[in-house]
Amino acid sequence: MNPAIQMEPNMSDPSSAPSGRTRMLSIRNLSKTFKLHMLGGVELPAVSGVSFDVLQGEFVGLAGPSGAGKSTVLKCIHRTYLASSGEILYASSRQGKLDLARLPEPDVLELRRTEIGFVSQFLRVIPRVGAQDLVAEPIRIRLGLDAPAAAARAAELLDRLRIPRRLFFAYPATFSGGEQQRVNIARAVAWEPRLLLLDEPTASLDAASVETVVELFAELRRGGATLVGIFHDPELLERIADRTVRIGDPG
Amino acid sequence: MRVREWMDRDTAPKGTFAFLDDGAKKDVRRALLKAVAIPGYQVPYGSREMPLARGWGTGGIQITLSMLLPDDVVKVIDQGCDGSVNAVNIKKFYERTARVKITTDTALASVIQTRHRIPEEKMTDRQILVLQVPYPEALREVEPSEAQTRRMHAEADYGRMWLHLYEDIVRFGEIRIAYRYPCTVNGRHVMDPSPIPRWDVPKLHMADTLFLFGAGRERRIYAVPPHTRVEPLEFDDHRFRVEDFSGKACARCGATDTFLDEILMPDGTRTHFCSDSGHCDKRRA
Amino acid sequence: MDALLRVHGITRRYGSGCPQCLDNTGAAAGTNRCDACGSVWACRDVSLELRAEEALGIVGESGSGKSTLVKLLHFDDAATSGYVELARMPALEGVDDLYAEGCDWSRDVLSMDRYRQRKARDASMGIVYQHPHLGLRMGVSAGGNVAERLLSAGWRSIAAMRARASELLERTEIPLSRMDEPPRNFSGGMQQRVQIAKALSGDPAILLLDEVTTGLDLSVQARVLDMIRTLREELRLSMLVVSHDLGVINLLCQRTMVMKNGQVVESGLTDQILQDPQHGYTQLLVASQLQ
Repeated sequence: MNPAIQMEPNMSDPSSAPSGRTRMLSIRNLSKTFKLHMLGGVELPAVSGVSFDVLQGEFVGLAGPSGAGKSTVLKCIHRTYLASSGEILYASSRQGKLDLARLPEPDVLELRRTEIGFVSQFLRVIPRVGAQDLVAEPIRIRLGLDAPAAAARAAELLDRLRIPRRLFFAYPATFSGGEQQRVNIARAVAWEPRLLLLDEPTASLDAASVETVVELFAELRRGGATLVGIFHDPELLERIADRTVRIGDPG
Repeated sequence: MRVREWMDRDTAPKGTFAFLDDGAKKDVRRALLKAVAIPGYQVPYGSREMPLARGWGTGGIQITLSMLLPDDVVKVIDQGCDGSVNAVNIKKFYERTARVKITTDTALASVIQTRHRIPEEKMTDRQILVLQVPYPEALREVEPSEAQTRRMHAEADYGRMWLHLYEDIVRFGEIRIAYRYPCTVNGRHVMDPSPIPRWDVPKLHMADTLFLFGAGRERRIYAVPPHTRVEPLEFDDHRFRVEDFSGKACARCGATDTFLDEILMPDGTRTHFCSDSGHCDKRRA
Repeated sequence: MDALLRVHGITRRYGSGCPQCLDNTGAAAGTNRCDACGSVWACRDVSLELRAEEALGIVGESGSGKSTLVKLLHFDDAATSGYVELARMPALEGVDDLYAEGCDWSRDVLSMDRYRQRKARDASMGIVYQHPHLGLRMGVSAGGNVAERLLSAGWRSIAAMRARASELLERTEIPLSRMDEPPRNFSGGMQQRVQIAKALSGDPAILLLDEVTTGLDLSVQARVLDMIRTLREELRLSMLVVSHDLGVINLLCQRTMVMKNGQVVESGLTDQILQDPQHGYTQLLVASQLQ
């Protein structure tokens, strides 16, 4: 049996899941320490003892002072960071509960391909691919649409995010910060992930774009998606998240 | 040639018969047996010093000497000709050392030794053809290293040989190999059929006769046993073709179905004669 | 996604070896040469699994053993120990006795004779070397280079081979007007693209890339990398990408192994290796790259 698949008896305990919905994420005692070998092996604790749950369909915001480790938690969930200890239990659609902290890499990749998306603060994409192709790619590969259909869906998203049509074939590396971020979001929501992790996705957006992005997130949620995010703007967080988990507070 | 009968050649007289000592003959015969067992495979053997220089047919001579019997009838030809100096000298050598009969008639010979041709007349299962080979390695053209060509044969790694032919076709529109045309023997080894013209290559395929190849300088013996597939390397859309002599005939015997040599006459005109002189003589007689 | 290739403890040692070798060599010792006996452990106890349609990166400095590993997997060089298995796939059914009856995995390919190794390799793998002269016959036409594996595989129609070569050369953006020219007339980038066309001729499930963009101009490098990305998606290739350049690895690979002094010191998801490297050497590598 896969050691990463862990059954926890109280996961279905209705008292901790009041609405009766499944727990999508269950983070238990997550700690992350960076060991810097180049500095003589000094250890930098980033987060320690973080525990919280996210229910299916919920939008949970992570809050806390700068440097509290909000982003670290998101990256541990995405497995971009390796958790030092603790569990990140995820209710996958096909394999049941999986511990993302210890899941074999190919299985993590499979989840990233089919279920879990991540939007970073900066556009980190393949160079020399046009904006429309960039957004169409996950639609084609992950949703299995043919190339013209994927291109049409990508165009629709980019239109809504007010990326000028003349930029569709241009490389996003040449775009302004706000445009890059909008392409980034279009690419992330395009394939309708089941769990979307957001690391300050609206940081460089103007007010009108923020409204569109909020709409897109709402649409994702209507489709059943679960979102966990960090927002620099507390008012925005208050408005779009169901609830907030504070990171970095004692206890 | 039945194997039993051929094996019985071991009953040849001992002593000084046919120049080679018994040990040398045994070495060659052992190589011959292996060569027949693995058609097209080059068997190394200890080529002996002969009373003529290497490169003058010593490989063929050693094979012939190793299996001659006193009642053999031997024909020796050089480029189809019974009367060339080299052929005549070799015949005299056999006459003197093995007291065998000599003939120019293909049909009468029991053993025929040849350089660069296969007789026109169809040979039978009672006869053996011994071919002199200058360069036994068919792959040498594409690979200079002996270690590599041995490996290539062992692994049937013939892609580069085929690539060589592909390049010929791409560059020149045809395969430009006039003689030493590489053949696949028994569906396995690629073999150099010795410098015979393409005209003679089909005669090796599923023949009644045993063909033995000897390279004295390179110390290799190989064989094509009777009824063995010998297929020239060819492509589905670029077939192997023999030389085209259509519209030409031998000026001596009038043959239109033989391999012809083109001769420049003293008056500057060109004319054609049969390359196989024995066959030509027989037709005129 | 199922695995296509499994490698267990593959090792290449030059020299006789001695009892001190294991202590004297490897990443911890900082060398792959044993002081006591002079043996060089070019590649030591490397295991990996390559899945279908996955690109696995192998990163490390020169002398880390990454290129040796590729040579061993392509049977260009013989391993000292270890074993290699290939998943059952239709292209390999023709290789005699490769699979035991009813098994999903082949027997150990390393211990097979060279003839069957070559058959198995030609039917399942393509390779692109850093130096085009290793992968190409410089005096043979570009089309002939592509045709070579087809000829080895028994293709005997010039027209069909030329059609296939044209298709591959077109994919790799070599003008067809130059198909019958030898690669020695070509630029470095073009030679590399002919090499890629040649590597793809046998319709391989696995593509081995050994420092394919090293030594090319930046713009040429970009073009080759973009082409590899496109081909990977279109042909659903699995790739083993060897490079000293984390940028190349980041662009192409989902998973990465880090090698040093013949050993694997770390392996993980590529973004994790880049953003949260665990081993001191990887941290040094990442820090050196990003500056």
